[in-house]
Amino acid sequence: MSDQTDTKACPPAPRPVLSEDGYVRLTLQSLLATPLVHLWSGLDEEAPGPLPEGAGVTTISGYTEWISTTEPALTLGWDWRLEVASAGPFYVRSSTPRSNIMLVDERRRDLGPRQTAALLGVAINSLTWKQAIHNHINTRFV
Amino acid sequence: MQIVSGISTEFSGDLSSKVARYRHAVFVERLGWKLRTRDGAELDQFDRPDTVYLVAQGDDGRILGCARLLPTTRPYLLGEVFPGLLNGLPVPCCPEVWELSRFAAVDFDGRSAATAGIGSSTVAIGLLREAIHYAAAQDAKRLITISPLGVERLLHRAGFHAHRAGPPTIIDGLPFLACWIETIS
Repeated sequence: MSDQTDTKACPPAPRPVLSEDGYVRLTLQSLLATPLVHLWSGLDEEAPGPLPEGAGVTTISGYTEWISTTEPALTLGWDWRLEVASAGPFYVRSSTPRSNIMLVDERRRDLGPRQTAALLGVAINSLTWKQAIHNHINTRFV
Repeated sequence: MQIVSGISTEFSGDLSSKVARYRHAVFVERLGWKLRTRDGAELDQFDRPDTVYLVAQGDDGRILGCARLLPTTRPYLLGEVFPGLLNGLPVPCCPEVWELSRFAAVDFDGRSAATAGIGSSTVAIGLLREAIHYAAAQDAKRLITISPLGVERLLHRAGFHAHRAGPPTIIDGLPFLACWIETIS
């Protein structure tokens, strides 16, 4: 994320604060300046029961986890699924982000869970998460 | 399905023993957690006379799910065993916070769909709602839970107001995390 933001013209972002309620409060500017690294990805289990003869798995989906190496630690996870198109398979995010992040404005007022989730979705798009998941799953399951 | 809640002495018959055996079947046999067991039952130091249990049962009496509630003013799992999951915050110790643990919703008759290894989402959501209702009735404002990622995913999909207390930690090869659940939405 840190390579997505031009900080030359901006004042330094306030330090992230770990609050008593477990949230790390920080501005979007500060979040985008914080590198996140891939921690773990996994595939969803298939529903129990044998597949009928000749049937195949119809959906490939899973989850992915990313963390900061800063203190307090930021944690961000979401679900994904593999879509198939004529150009080839591609990953799409299929859930709202799950995290310990509460974004705040310049006056350190909470943006609230809904707006934070929407902005975290924007931040996720700046990560090279699709390639990371692909590599991780290939390493673990292939 | 019905869900009963209370301390073990409030349960009729041998329901408490059935729950301990059900926990063994889910957490030890199915999920492979390394827990203290005895004679096919799973019980630990947090199963005390004041521990609150929630048990989901089918119409025929078989157990479909369970959960455990503990006040944080007395020893509890996260506070005693996994304080490092709180991202550096001190462990909660106040009447407004209760802990949810040993949460499962697996129907061993196979009539419920599995959800991320945790079990039926209908039963799981029913248990979570009852846990929140019970804790709120004790004046709790929030629950803290340590759980596999699957439980957190279920919480979000079902629309519960929950957020992480810290990053996941890999325990016995699987990611676990601590999660806050608000009892007042």
